[in-house]
Amino acid sequence: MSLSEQLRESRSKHTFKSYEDVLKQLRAFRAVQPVTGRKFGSSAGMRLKEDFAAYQTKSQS
Amino acid sequence: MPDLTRVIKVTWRDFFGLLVVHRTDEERQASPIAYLERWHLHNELFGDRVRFVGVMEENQQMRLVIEQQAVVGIPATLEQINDFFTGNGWKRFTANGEVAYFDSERNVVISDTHRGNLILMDDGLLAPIDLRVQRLSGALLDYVIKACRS
Repeated sequence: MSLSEQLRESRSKHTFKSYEDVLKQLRAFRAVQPVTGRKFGSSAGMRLKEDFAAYQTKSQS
Repeated sequence: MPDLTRVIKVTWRDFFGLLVVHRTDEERQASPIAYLERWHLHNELFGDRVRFVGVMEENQQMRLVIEQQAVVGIPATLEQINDFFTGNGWKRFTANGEVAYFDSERNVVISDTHRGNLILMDDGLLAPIDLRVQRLSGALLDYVIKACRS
């Protein structure tokens, strides 16, 4: 099995069970981000899909 | 209950990340097309299912939106990250003062491999989530091949 296939299978098994786990992980990853800002990364952070839906609704109104 | 399976990422306005390597006569900033190609390569190489959602316009500036599968894990150490890539055939080199890796079979380079961009899953595999990925040809490919030898 190729690395890509192994990762696809593994990713599909490692899913969140609770919103609290999501927040805990986001905090852990924010703590190790070397810097923030457009000079280094392409995206302005990530949001859960539902949060983004709310953002879209707000920006369209 | 929010959807816990996917995350949404939105680029900065009119900014689509950086290239791993670039010619002296071109900008280091990636184009929107390069940004999308990067995710296409990311899916191919790292078993992800990133999907292009669309384009947002704000103040006459463009933002690209993608959707990515959420993955549970913890930040990997820099040693684990290096071992993961070199152990899977990537050659380490330096580009623009940063650590980068080259896959000589696919002629692809990656960088931005800091701890916040790879998730260590409990089976020991690392899931890259936000690397710079770039396919090379011509002079840039020659440059990287030489850089890997030095």
